[in-house]
Amino acid sequence: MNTPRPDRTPASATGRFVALYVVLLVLLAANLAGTLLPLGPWAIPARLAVAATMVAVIATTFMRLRQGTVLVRLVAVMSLLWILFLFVLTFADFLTR
Amino acid sequence: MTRTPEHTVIVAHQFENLEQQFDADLLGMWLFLVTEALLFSGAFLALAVYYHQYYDTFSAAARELHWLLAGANSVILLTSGLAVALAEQAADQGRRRAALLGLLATIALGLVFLAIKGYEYHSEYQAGLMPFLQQPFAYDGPNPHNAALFYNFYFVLTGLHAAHMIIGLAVLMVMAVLTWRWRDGARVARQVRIAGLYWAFVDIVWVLVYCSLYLVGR
Amino acid sequence: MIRDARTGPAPRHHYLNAGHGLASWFLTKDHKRIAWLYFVSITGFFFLGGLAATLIRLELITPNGDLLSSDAYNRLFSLHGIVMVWFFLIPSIPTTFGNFLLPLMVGARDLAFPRLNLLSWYVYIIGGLFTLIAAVAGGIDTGWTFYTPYSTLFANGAVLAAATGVFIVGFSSILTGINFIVTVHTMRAPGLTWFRLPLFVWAQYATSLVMVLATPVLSVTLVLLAVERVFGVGIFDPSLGGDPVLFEHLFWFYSHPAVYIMILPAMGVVSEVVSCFAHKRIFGYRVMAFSILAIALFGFLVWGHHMFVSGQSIYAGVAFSLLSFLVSVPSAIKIFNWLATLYKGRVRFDAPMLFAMSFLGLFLIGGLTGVFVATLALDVQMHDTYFVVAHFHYIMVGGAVSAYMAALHFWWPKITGRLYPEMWARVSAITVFAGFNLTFFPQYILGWAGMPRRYHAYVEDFQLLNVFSSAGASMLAVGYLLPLIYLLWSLRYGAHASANPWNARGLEWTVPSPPPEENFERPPRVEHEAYAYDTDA
Ligand code: HEM
Ligand SMILES: [Cu+2]
Repeated sequence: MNTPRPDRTPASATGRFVALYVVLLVLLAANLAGTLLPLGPWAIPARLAVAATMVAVIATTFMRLRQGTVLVRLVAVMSLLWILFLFVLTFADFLTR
Repeated sequence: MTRTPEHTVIVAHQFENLEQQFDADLLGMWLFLVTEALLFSGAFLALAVYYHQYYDTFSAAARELHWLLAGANSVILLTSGLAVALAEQAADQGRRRAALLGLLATIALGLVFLAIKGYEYHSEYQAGLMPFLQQPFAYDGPNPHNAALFYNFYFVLTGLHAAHMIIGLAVLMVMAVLTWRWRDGARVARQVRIAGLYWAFVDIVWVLVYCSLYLVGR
Repeated sequence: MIRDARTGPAPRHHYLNAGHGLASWFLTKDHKRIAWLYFVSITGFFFLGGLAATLIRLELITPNGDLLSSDAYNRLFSLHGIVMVWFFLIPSIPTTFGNFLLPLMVGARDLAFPRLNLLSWYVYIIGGLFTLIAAVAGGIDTGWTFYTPYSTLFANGAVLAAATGVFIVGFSSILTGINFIVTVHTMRAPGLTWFRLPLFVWAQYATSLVMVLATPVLSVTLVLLAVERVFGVGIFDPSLGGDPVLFEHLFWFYSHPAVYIMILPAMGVVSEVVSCFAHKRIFGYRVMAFSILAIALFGFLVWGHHMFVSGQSIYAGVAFSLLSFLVSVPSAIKIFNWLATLYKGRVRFDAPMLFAMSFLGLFLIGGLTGVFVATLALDVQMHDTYFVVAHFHYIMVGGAVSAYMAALHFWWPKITGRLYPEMWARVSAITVFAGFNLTFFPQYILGWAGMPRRYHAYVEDFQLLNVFSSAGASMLAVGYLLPLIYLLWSLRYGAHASANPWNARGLEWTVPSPPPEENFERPPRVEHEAYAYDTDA
């Protein structure tokens, strides 16, 4: 009971927060810059991939998933899985019409 | 629980100790965020289906949006995400003033975001890009009917997000008051931590809204 | 002799006399009292939905639409569906027995979030008020499924009020679900490992997961419906290129899992009752627990079986048909395990067991006919006929409501501290079973013969079976009204129940009936598996 909480923020976290905030800004800039490149069919996957990376960064640092308990991480994964069900099975219809 | 000995803090009667209570609160918040994520994913699914069907029309329509202004808004919201994370950390370390400052900064940035969003809405209204409430629809690109669908999504998704921001701002204001009063530091830190989760989620939604409405069509 | 073990002295202090006055009920945070709040409200909605059903069955006695206009008829079956699905069946077992028993069964003093629990009741009531307003303001004729574009562009009833009611009540489910999940994860008593939990708790847990994962999608769907109807923000509007089939996808992503919100808690109840009255450990405990989770999971992958003839792609139809067969596997496993539990048990047939037996038989028939309608080629024929109506009533009324009645009688002594009159309860159980089959079996035949659902008139050849059905409905009404009378009677005149009148296992039976306000004097420590029936002679 007296063990430190696994998700307690260490004092050194400030630096990491700021660093990852900068990463987020760079990713955002990359996504904006991407609109200037002739990516052709890769444009949409590229934009979505960058956005997904940003989401992952926010979730793991600002929401502290990295330090989270197994249970909390499981909950996060579960939501992704269910969103996947929704998308995959609905598109199973729309892509095969 | 090193800083505050357990007998000085009040544990809700149904729990055995503070540890258990915090675990419960955290899990509860995460589950709530799961429901929020699924709520938005329904709307995103609908958008994705129509992108699939009307990609060219939608991307032409998307080009009319203020993508750079909204990009600046993204920066503002990401910054507020950093501010609330730092506020959580400060509260956790018992630094009351820093925590309060972080929260106030978050709230201020959130309000700026909403103001800019309001300006965007206003200019779309003036440009005749609001195809509902019997407004004239002045879009002159290809397939205006299908384009109207795009603008409907634009207003629904950003509106849904803005509604969540307003809720988030209200929660943060309560947190600011609690931090200012600082009755029971450990407790305030937990509450700020949980409120911060919600705000980070609002950030995540915006990243996706921005990408899917403003960028995918470009 | 058994009588003696059942009765006991009246306990002095318990949750029911811990406070008096309206505020002690309407501001209570005690999960046991909140269970009562729900109990009274859902009973009200049950009889409201029943009233609509009565009128429907009266109309259908004759082939001509003579009692009700087609419009009134449409409004009645829509009201019936909405009330029964969202205001009775979805909340039924979780919010009453789940609320009352979950903390007791995991050895906790309350749920993790008592205030949230009370809030979720208020949310339920507000949602209910909107629905009543919709009913009074002329009702709606879209059916409980709110299909677009009819609901958004054409229907002239109080669609917005009804959709708002359903939207709001969804949050009540979500809050309850979160509360239960957190409670099971964080508040189990020392020694109460996952595989020592009663299956009722497993079922509540899985149900809560479904509530949390499915309901938000319904919420957003209703929001999209509302903005389209009110502001003209077309989302599913075909004239803008919108796709009504997309609405069906979103709707059934929730509504198929919702049928598991209705049936999983029922399965939990039946496991408790069957093992108690067979006086045997449940057969294959772990398999039972995993089947519950498997049903909850697979339940999310089959929604397209409601859309075989809606215009979805034929390939998706085939996939959804095959995935639907998958759900029947864990369901069948559960049936076999209940039967195996009964085998060589010392089975007693008190009223809870009679209701549980009804569940087994009726759920079996409903499930098997579910496989019929899940077969793509067959469903093209069966869709929107009375066959489907019979299928889901066998499961939702024959299955879920029977289990609800089983739970009501099984835990009544614990909840109220009083015994109910056993003889009358058996009469009710048998009347309900007979009345149910008389009402709904003819509907299978009618549907097979091609009678479409949702019409107030039909061709004369169908009259005989419809008369049977209406006759059965009146029996059913008697069967459901009886408990209302004798249970109320027992509150005052029933003998005081002992702590464990059924000689059952489980933590809830270790505390007095009715339980004290704080449930346990000190946190219990659990050293046994669930259903340790073989530990005594
Ligand atoms: C376990 C509990 C179940 C419940 C509570 C339930 C409930 C329902 C309900 C309410 C409907 C009608 C919806 C409407 O159109 O208004 C329905 C239809 C249907 N059910 Fe079930 N069901 C259950 C199990 C199953 C199973 C196990 C299967 C298949 C293996 C199944 C397959 C179907 C199909 C295919 C339909 C659509 C038929 C049609 O509209 O043509 N159901 N069910
Ligand atoms: Cu289904």
